[in-house]
Amino acid sequence: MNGTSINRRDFLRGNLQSKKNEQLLADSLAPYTKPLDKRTAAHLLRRLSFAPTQKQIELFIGKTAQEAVTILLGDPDNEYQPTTNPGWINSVTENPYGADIYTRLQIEGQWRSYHSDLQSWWIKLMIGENTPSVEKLVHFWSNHFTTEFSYDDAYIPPQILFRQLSMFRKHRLGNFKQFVEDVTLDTGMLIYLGGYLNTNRRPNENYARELMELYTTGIGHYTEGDVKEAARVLTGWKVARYNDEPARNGIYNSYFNPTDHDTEAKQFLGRSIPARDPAFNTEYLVKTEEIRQLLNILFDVRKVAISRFLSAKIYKYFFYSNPGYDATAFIQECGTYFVQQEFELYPLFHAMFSSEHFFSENIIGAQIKSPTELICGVSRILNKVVTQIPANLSAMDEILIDPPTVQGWEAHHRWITTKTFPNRVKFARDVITSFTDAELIAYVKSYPSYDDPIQLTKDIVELCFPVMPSQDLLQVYTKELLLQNQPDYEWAEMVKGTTAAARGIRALLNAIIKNPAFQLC
Amino acid sequence: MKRRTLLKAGALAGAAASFGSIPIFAQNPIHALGAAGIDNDAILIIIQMFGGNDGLNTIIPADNPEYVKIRPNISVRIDNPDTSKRPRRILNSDVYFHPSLINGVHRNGFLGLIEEGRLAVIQGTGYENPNLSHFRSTDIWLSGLNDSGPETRLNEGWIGRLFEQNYPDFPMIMPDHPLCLQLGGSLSMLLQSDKGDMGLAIGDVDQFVKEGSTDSDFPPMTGKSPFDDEYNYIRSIAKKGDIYNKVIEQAWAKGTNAPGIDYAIANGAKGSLVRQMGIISKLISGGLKTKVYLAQIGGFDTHVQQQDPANNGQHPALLNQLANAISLFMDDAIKQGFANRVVGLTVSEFGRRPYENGSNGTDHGTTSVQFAFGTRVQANVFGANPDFSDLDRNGDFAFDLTRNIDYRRLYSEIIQTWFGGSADDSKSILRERVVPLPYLQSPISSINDPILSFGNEGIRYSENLNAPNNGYLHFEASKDCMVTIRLYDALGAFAGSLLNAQLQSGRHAIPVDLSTYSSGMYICELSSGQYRHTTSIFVRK
Repeated sequence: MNGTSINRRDFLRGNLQSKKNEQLLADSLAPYTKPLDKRTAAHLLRRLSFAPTQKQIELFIGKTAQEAVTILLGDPDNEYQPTTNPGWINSVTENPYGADIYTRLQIEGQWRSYHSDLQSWWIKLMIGENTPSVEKLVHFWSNHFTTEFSYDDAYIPPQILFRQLSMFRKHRLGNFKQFVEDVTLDTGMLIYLGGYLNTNRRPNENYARELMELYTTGIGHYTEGDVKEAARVLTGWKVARYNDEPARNGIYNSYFNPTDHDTEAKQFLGRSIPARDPAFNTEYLVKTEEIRQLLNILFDVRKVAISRFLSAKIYKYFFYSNPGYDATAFIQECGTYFVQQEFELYPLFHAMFSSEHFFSENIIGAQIKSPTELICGVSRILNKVVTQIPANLSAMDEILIDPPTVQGWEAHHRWITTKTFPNRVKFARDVITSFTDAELIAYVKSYPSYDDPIQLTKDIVELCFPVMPSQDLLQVYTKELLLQNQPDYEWAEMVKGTTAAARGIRALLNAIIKNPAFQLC
Repeated sequence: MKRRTLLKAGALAGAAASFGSIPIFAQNPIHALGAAGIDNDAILIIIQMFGGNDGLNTIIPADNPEYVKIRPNISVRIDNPDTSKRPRRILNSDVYFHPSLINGVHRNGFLGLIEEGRLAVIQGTGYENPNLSHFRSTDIWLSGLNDSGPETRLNEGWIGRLFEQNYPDFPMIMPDHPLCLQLGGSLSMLLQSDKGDMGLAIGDVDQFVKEGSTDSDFPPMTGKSPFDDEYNYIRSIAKKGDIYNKVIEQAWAKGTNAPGIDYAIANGAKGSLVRQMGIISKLISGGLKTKVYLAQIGGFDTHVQQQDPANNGQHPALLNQLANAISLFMDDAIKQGFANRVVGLTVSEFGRRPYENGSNGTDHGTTSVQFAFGTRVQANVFGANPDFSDLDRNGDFAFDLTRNIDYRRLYSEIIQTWFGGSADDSKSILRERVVPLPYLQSPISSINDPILSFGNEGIRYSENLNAPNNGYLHFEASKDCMVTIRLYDALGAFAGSLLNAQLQSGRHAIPVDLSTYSSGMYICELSSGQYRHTTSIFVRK
């Protein structure tokens, strides 16, 4: 176990056994060695990006998993910040609280419209992206380091949320500890979890608790006393939100206010952070000597917990949300590797996605698509612009950067309810309905197999479903839907015209999007 | 002393006991079940207050000087120069309602309700070794389980398990009406079981009726891979949605709210919870046979600017909405005639720390107050008043079973008295024996077959306010039966047995002598077989 301490619970669970077993665990992170075929290439693309196009699959066939993952992850040091941003990101915001009600509603209304705009902009970025795949990782981090646009009775200005996404993009494959440090002092996070209210006279434990419970170790690896002490370390940070607030590091950035910082000594996880001479109570020194020390202690004392907690989080988001006991050994192996790599994210992601485990039959097709994946997938598979993105996200219970709780979305079965399932089907159906007959013909002609109705059906279904349905169902799709009960040989003629062929294509697509397999990836 | 002995009576239940052993072939949750169990037409409404409601500023020990001392800025003061801002005493107790539960609320809000016998106040609810995480504590409350370490995943709600036991073939065989309905959001853990969702979540009913049907019909997968499992799960949800779409459409079209009761359903102007209660009333009125409704209201995580001395702030506004939602609903239910088979219960993951914080707010705490409402509740204040001398090392109220009420006692009362389950049913759902807190009487069903009949008056204790506390209990038995009458004190602890006898059918007047009991409120429970009926009795010396 790489020299890390063995805790009693692991021992009791029987997770640390013979050498033979350890060998098995190591194998589970071993690379997948077969060259990618159509199915495995599509699987990788579905999970590490937002739904594959035919062209992308072609590009990946024949490559090793490691080569493909290298291409998809891109350069970890390149931030790949988008070139076209919403127009309002640098606009100054007035303080709505304390203003008259009319002004307040106007400002908040503006924010809501910016937040809608931000969601549409982000989804379009996801849809437009091929390689490298950046936004899928940003989406993951946005659900890990949760921030809610609207919480309690207040809002976080979308200008700040935009900056947070840029920060996630920057760190998406960097060092996790460094990432957590930037998150700790992130303006959006300081607002959301009350960090800006946390002072030596009035400590606020909110972020200190979530830092451990939700972002690093998971629950059960700290005491209430550790929460209190961490909160003391984190005192003194302020944010510049509004044009009437001081902005020592520029608008929308955080800064340090020495008089609010608790300079006494702190005891965290059994180690101490020394008291501070008031002469050295500065932003730079508190950040580098206290915040960094707090994280050093946390990542040292709780390295095993952190490495497993994050590995499990990645597993649940990208591999399978409901892995059960089967994945424990793999997740522990990932954790061990993550510690060995000193919490560098790139090698962890690279190893996980090129592993044999990732390409196993238990993973392929098992994941329920998030609304984001569904929306991007419909657009990319059908090669069609989608509209009313914020309304559709909301109807499917995923308002981006506004999760229901600080825990983020639970995903898995929570994505599919008697409310959201009909909305998912309706969204895809509306996109199909928006095609003209001529557009539908043009769409199938993008498949090289377009004049062979049996192969064409199979190719479309293969792009839409992660696991192929029975031959019987494929036959129904071809004969009754695509061909509308006409003989096979009529198709080549039908597809030259429009009306009859379009009716068949529309019927086929409408059946595909209703099938439960379309909700899986 | 072992506190848990009060709750624990033996080992964990092995195989889950079933309410009724008759297979569910009929497709109606009310008539589908066997003679025992949830075969009544009783309905439960749970109101979940997200964020941890501040019990201390809801039901207020306003006479206690410690209260104002501990909360210099956010207390609701009895000496407020503006009398309308003062808290209001509850019945003859020494605790008070926050004025926002009364002022500006339909029919005088909670004060009106408790005076008319329609509200129970249950103080000091919580659990041992309190957890101050919203999520973990919510999971503990919704699961009804508190016997597990933090690494144990809590995935099922106690309501989910209640129905899981009654529907062994769920979801392959499902009732025609949804068992549970949640207003808005994605389905709560409360309504989930290891057989999947035991209910459905609806946002906008009109939209659900219009677009909720997907016309899906796919054969299930027969394999065992995760793909097959997930496919079958999605398929079952799609199917369920299509079936329920139709019955909800019918109930929504047929149902109504009583004249003069305006919940502002269309525009939500009176708040989301008020709107949700209006929708629930309309669906019940329209004949929907759903057993459990879940309504939700957020915003109780009042770390900042909870309230000022004039009772302005987030918390008073939330209390005001809560009281209005419940008061409107009760008036509506009584006018429409279904009040006797509906009970409501509030839950919230925890209370707040007694000490206010520096932001005119309060941080996560331990115990809190909950409410039960309906014509069949015991209108009283249960549980001891907050004890400022017994704080734990965080400065929170210490949980002490001699003073506090284990939250699961609210549930065992629902399972047994409200849904007519046995103590074994309750034990298999809550995984240990939990003594019910007697805050309810059995529902008055629209289906006839109680063994004992009391008319609409309940048990009559003829001279219940007179010294020397002698009188008669009147009731009628429709056939020969064994009848037991027991007394419990305000904390639900057994206080004495008044009768345990085989009686013949007919009218009975049982003489009762309470002169040996000390002063206070008692719950008198009359039971025969599955049937339980309770009423409150005051003993005055």
